[in-house]
Amino acid sequence: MSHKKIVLLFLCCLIPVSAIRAQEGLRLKHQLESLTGVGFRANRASDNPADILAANNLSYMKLTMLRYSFYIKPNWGLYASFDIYPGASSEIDEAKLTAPFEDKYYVTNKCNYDPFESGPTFTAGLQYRLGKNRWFTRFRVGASLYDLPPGEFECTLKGKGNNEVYTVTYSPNDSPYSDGNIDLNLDLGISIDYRFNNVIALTAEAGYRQSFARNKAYMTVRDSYTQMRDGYSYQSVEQTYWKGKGMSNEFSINIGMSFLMHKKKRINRPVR
Amino acid sequence: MRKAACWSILLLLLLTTTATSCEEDEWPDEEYPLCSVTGMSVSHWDNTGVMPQLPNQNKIAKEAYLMEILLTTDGIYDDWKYSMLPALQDSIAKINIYTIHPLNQEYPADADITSCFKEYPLSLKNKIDDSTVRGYPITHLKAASSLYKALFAVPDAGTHQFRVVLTFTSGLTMEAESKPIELY
Repeated sequence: MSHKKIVLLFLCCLIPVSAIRAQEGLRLKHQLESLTGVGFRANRASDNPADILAANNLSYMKLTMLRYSFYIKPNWGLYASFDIYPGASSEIDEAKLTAPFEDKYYVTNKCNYDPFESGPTFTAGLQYRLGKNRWFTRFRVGASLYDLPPGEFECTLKGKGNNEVYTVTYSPNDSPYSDGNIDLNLDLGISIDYRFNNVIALTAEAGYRQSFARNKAYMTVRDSYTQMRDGYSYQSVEQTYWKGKGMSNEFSINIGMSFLMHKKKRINRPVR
Repeated sequence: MRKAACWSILLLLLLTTTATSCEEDEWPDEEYPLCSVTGMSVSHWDNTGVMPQLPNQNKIAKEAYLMEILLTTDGIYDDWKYSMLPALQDSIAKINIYTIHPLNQEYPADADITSCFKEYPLSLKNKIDDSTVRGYPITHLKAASSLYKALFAVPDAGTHQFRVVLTFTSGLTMEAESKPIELY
């Protein structure tokens, strides 16, 4: 017996696949899910620094820690989910951001900071399901109250032919003091469940998120010499704020497990 | 049954706390090496490019003049043995820069032009932070430490020469003169 066969046999023992009567699938009122996957941003770049900062090829791991669905009707339900985004990494088109300075300064110490925040995001909305026997399809429309911001970009300007040194920071905020923006997002999702029995299901899903807040960027130019005076702060020389044309959007692909329950009496007898 | 569960939780708590905590070590008494400033030299850098360069034909553009004050000590710094730099027996309280020739209309010969210089913010070789500009004496030095000062006053074109005076907390002073340099 090969290793593959042993593993398969082991898996078969773990998941008791039982016959499911078609009518009962839609009567399961509660569904708990936990999923993992990847997400990526698909923003288009323009000449606006806010859009350049947002079109940063952001990718991250998407963990839906928990999603709870409650079906008020056999087909219609409400859902609420809790996501986090660890391991975000981004890549900003640095050349476009430093271009305005290139003729008067040498641009050095370019640094692209990955997004610092990693959630959590709370999403809630409406869900519609259809299917029978083992295969179920679910469609979701919801709203989420948080977005993963683009990363920051920092560089040093060294004057050409003089001693001037400046530090330039681009941050995706509307002021240098705000460090997070809570935006309203539209969340769309489609899931496909494969039920092993009336309790456990394997879930694969695709999601799309659209933000309703336009991209923003805040640039601060600070005199590096003034940093030395008190050791901590710089004196800012120039501050500029941009509102971009685009709004950020993200795609995600997840897989995970679902657990289904029915509160009153167990419809399915555990089949051995 | 419930009692057993309570006891097992308590036992688990005890086990995890004993397994994850360790006795706090006292800091070892480190004997920091002492040192004193043995030498000082002043050199010129041409800062027109990305990084400072040695002046070409002893000429530097007057907007891009950078001064290096190199301090040498008799301290031996061993990274493996000590976590701190050797301490100065006599710390540096003040650094003054004087011009030997007139700098411009405002600063005649032998004037104190310390305020015309600013601490260069980018990192360079052996660069140390000059805390005297913030009012704190320099207390620790490597065997060779450099202070970089960028000139921000516009000097008259011509040959210039500078004198740097260190004042220690004990009141002793140390002087060094730069070589003449042509600023254009």
